Amino acid sequence: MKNPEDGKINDKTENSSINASDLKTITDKIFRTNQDLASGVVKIIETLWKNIKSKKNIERIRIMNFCGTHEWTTTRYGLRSLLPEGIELIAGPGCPVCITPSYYVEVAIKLSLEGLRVYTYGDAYRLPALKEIEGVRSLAEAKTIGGDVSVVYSLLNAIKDAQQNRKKSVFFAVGFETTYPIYALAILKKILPENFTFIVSGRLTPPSAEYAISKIGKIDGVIGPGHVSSIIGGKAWSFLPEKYNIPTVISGFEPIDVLISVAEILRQIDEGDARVVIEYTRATSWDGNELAKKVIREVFDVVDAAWRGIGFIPNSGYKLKEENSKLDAFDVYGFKEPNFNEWRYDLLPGCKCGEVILGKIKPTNCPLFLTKCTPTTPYGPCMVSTEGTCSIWARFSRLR
Amino acid sequence: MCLGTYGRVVKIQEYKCWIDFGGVIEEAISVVEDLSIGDYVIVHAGVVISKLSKEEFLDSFKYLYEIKRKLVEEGEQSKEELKKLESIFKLLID
Amino acid sequence: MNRLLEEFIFKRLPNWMKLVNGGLGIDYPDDAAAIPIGEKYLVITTDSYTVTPIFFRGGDIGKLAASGTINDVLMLGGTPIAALDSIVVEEGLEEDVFEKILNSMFDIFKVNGVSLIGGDFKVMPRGQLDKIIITTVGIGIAEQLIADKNLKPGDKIIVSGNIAEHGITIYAEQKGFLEKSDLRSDVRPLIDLMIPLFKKYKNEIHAASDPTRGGLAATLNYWASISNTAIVVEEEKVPVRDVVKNYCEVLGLDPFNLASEGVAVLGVKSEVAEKILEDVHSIGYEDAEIIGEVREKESASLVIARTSVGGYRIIEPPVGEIVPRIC
Repeated sequence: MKNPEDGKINDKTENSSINASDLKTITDKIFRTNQDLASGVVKIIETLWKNIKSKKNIERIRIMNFCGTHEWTTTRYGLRSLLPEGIELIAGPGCPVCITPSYYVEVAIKLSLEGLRVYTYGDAYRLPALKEIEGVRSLAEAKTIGGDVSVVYSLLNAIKDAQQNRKKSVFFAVGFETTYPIYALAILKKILPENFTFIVSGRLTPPSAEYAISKIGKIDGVIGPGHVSSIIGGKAWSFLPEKYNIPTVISGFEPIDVLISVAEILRQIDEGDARVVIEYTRATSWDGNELAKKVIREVFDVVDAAWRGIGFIPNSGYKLKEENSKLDAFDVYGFKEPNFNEWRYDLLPGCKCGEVILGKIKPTNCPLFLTKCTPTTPYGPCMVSTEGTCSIWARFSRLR
Repeated sequence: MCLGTYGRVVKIQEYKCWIDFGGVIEEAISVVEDLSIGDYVIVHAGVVISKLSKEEFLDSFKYLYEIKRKLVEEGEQSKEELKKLESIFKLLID
Repeated sequence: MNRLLEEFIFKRLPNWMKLVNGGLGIDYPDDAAAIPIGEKYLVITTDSYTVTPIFFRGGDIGKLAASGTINDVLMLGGTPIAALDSIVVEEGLEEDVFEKILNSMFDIFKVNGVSLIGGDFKVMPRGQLDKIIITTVGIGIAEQLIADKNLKPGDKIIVSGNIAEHGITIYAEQKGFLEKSDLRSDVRPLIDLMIPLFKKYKNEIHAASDPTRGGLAATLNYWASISNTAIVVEEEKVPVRDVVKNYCEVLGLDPFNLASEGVAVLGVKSEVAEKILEDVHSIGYEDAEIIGEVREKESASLVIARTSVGGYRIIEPPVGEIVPRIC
């Protein structure tokens, strides 16, 4: 563990290296499928929780994750069903698709119908816009009426395809800090084909985390996003303990990673401690990926940006720098991003995705959840993305 | 956010590299400096975002072990429990 | 799709039209339909096959059509005896391509003793369909039907082999991701497996299906709903090859949702489950496993998986087009 006081920690794993050569198999064996270990960690959690309850006379704590993949792990492996009563794991603004403002989707649909090829990750393919464009609300629907939409897994896929068909094309670049270095690198290395532009809807996680906390009040612990932190570093989260006194653990994405992180948060609460601890040491450092941070700085400015259903959050979005404006689909095709005063609430009437995203309510508190809004007929953005809290809850977690 | 998959670098060519995800090889671009063949990496949306550190692989458990040791010291959990955890670790390392 | 079927077909037909008395029809839609004839049943199935690309690793559309037809008859307890085919091709399809497809279809029928007793052939103008569509009718005789609605609490669920092989291969073919992997479709007829099992366990096999479209998730959910039960699966027991698991992980797909074309799922009496599993192994399906069991339904019919760390999750039937995800 990388934290100032870990010098005293000394145990069996200190000098032992891993014998087996395949880290992937080892990950599986240790962090994903080891039921003995899982129940061992749960036992620790139970004891700590018992201590905390009697010591502090509380019945409930709330631990928030800021990463949709943590929410996915939590529900996918049924972690809530393993934790004792009173420890609530809640999902914060961790899904880059759910918070992508509607007007980006509207522009993407328009461009696809005007004959440009729009590349999108599968995640944003069915994301609904607020306004209908020629009778359709999503890129998936646009495709059924002749829009040119191509689902890709990576920017590299899109570049290859665009080189072959030579059409004007747009990449719908949703994502957080993890997904953005590649766009910067591709631009700097000049590997983009001609007439290739981006819808830049990238967002930054720490500002939104701070915003969420300011809106919902005291959180007892934070499970920090491992892969985002691989880029921005663990230190980007130090405002949580320093300013808000919140124990924060940067966690890996296997079920046992998340359980260990919960245990560490409980330990901090129990001992009245609050600091950033990196549980995901195998992939994340205190400083992060310097190259990735550097290329992003060279290509993008950080600006105030809108979050769907929430509004503007200061310094929370990427925008291409002036000299790269010929790669910005908004500039090239004459669209204007709404500013603070022009921004309008962009959820359909009755949709509570904004509150779900901020962790203010659970999906089950929304009257539309699994009634009017289901995975087959999604009404709000959180039901669309595989990573959206509502979608995850609908698919996995009716058990608790 | 940010699904990441573990794989091993098998080929590097200019800015591109090829990653073996256990029987499936895919092209990727790296934003990690000094990548070498044989490195284990995390790939997100076709991008190498981080190298996996072999040395720190089991560090996640240091804290866990420490918490456990303390609980045993304080008499909250039994010594057998600690031994059980130790034997799990041993199994993992061997 | 289910909504369309429900709205435009099932809801509009009076009950008597959904089956022939004493048989099985779309009153309880199964892999095939059945009409009682004397002491036995005539088992009939029909299906249209389209796939892109038409030639894929491990097979082609001809092999897929013949195997699928045979398997659908088998999964209702029938011994396949005959088939009919109706083929529509797009104008301009090369003759040798056509020949190759027909040959692989005929080969499968030939090897499995299924006569091809009728058919139809049409050509449509270029651009009006994608290369070729094969529609088949499969016919078989059953002494006893295996209707999935008969699944009972206490039954064990057996899967005959590694799942998701066909689905992931087609997906990889379409996306051009197949380079240097040993993915291949598992498409094959399951006569060698199912006929001996029927003979030996005709009263003990309560349900059988091949988890094609929608994969194991769709099959188990359908079973649970049609038999009014709940199904609990041990996730770690479900056989999935590592390469398939890894590939799914890269693309953010769930193997439970991907099609198999050469796997049988069986719901069997628990007392003989181990014995049946041994037999399945000895017939040559060595990857077969008992993956879970059927329970009394408590609330809504559900398929639940016990995960690798001991937690529980719900397995939902898959929805819509399968797309890769990055988050």
